[in-house]
Amino acid sequence: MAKTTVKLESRFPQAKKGAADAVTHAIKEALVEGQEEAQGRIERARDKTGYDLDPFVVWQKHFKRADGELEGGMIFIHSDWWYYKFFEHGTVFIPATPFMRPAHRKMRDRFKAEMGDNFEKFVTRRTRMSSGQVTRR
Amino acid sequence: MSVNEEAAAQDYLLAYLGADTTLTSLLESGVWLRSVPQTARFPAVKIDRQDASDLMVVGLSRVWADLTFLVRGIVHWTGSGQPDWTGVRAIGDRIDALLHDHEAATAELQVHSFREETFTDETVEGGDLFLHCGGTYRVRARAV
Repeated sequence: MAKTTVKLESRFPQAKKGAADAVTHAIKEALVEGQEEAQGRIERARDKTGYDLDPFVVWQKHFKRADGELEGGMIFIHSDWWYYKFFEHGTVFIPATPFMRPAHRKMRDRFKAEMGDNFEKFVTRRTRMSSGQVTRR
Repeated sequence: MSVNEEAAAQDYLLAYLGADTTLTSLLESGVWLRSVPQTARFPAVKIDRQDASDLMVVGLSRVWADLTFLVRGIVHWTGSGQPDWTGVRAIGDRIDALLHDHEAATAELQVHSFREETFTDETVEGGDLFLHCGGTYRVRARAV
């Protein structure tokens, strides 16, 4: 009886790496979108109210695992500019002009959209790329 | 659906909170939207819009407007030493009793609301100290 040799090749490691890359990509996209949203809103508040507000007080922070992979992130305003909270929430006589809460919603929506619509495509593409089926252009 | 849910929800909150005799008995002026006039007397309640988004389903049918409002009691502290939070806490508690786990229907809206985040703060404005106590409430409003 003739022997048939079947070569099995697992792409699971590539798929795992592709999934991690997809999550990293989604986090980065969400952070950029959130930061831009907050900055845009601060800019509009400055133009509307005349207060000397600087849009570039909104920064990004990345949280990384021990192996250097990105596992999360946030946008924040450094405590030097603590008084921006009075614009976010309003005071007795100043109406609220929120920028962090809407930015948070944008980030959440973007992350969900990236994971929902692009996740599978991203992982498939990365897996094929790693096994040499497609080449990066 | 021609009703702007956000504007209608604001009107609803003003009317609903303003009609509660327990809450108004704790206030000197009333319920204000977005800013309090310089001439207003305190304690007062202030409502600030925080964020809004629409929930839509297939066919662009709008299920509800998903709104967040910061609703707080404000007390003008004129005493000396450590500020006394008793009065503003009572207002914050009453606001929560009215708005958390709340459902209602009016001629133009169906609403439900719940607290998403508590809120306390102190502000110094014009040299005066104000104490704030309340919360961020998610209000989902559907035009009827």
